[in-house]
Amino acid sequence: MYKTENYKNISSNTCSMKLLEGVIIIAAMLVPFWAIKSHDMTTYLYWTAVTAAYLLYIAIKRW
Amino acid sequence: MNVFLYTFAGYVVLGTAIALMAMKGLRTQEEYYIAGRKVSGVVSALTYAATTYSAFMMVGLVGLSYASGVGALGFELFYLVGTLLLLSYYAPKVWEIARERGYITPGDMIAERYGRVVAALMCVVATLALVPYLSVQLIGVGLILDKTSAMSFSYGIAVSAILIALWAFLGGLRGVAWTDAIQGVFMLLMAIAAIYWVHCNGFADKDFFAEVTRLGELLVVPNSIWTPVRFVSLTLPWFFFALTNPQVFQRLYIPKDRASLRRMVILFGFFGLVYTVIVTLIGLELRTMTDMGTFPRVEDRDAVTPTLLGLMPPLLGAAISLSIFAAAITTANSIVLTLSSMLSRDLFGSERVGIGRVIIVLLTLAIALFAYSRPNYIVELSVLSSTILLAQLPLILGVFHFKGGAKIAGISTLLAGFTTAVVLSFAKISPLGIPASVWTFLVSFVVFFAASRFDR
Repeated sequence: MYKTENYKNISSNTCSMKLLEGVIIIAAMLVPFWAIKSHDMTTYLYWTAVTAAYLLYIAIKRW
Repeated sequence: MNVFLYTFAGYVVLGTAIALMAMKGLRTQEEYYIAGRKVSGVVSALTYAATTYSAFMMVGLVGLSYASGVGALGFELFYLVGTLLLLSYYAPKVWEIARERGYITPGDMIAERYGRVVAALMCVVATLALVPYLSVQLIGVGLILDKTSAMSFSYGIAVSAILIALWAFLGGLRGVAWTDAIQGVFMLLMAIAAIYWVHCNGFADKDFFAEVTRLGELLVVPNSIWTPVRFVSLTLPWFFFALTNPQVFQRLYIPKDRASLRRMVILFGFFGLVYTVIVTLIGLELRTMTDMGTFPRVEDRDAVTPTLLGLMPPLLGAAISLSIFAAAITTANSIVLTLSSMLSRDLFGSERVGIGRVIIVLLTLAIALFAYSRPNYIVELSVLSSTILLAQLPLILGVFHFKGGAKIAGISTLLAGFTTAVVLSFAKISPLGIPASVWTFLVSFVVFFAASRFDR
């Protein structure tokens, strides 16, 4: 039987950091639902920019 | 013989030649199903992208953007950031553990923690979820071929089914990955060609950013179409797609080293972002052109792309139709190959490649027959696929995070999640106003933790 506690790469610290990262990126993606109300391409460009920035972050950071 | 059929013939010859080249040395399941864990980062990224992005992109998502506006981009980009988030954390762990313990199917990881019975049940659930989804892909391709080429609906399905089975049968994952890589690049290039043509024809002497304001509430969320409930309902199953869909999960086993794994994730993210932006922009530009009176008003959103193809020069229309066909084939043969590995290994306990090849043929035949017969419930089941697959999520996360939970928790979670998804969706009910996907998510986790108490 596989034992989770034996798995060397899992630590509660990295898990918490990833959870925080998840909360931040989801919150950033939800911004247009309450903060962007202009009838132009702002929402479109905002979502594209946030995703591109997150992709850049993933590409640069150690994991 | 029209332009499409000439292009199509070249495509078939090239794909079959690649699959034949990939055939050498496919003696073990490790070679056949995961290419011996020796795939480069670039090819891994392209096969991951081509497997993920089906004909839904150029047909469904163009139509969804046209009909519902910018919310379609949000829905698709939520999927992408979710995938990047999950892969940047779990992909190295899954890759390492799979290499250490010799996993070939997603079920191998589940079997080690929860037992063989749970892995077999997960295989059945995945098959029930993905076979109708594949049949609907075939129906979509059959309809597009029927409209844009001299090929009838029935011939379209037959040819698609033959190619799906043939390339997977001959070359296994290596053949599928190589053909995926070429088709993935082709899909992206044709999407760029499509947006270029649409922009030149609609906005050569006009400012798109000024004209698009005609779309009004379609440029903001929430709106009358993208309500918060609808958004969550659609987004939740797709957010966890990277973990719950076996055909992409199994691709985490294939990169040759850690650097290739990392390259796979980053390049896939880049591909996904560019492809999604282009496809949704096509939908928004066409909708703006409709309001300007330069593109016909299309009521059925799935008819937007076929209408566009009908207006394009024949050669360009044929090339884009072929890219849509390629998108469907790359998704379908990857799913068929993964299901074949799960059915032969997790359900029947076979280590033989020959059994897997027989299953590929039988599975493809079943998918084609489903597509031919087009039963009423098939569309509902296909839409349900990602919701049904959510039932596996607690089990997969449990391997890495939860100490409790074994056979009883595994079986109970899969049965409860599957039943919740199917019953709520077919009965079309949303208790407390909460959609089926959220209920499936909640019920699966509650049952997992509750049943874990009964496992020693």
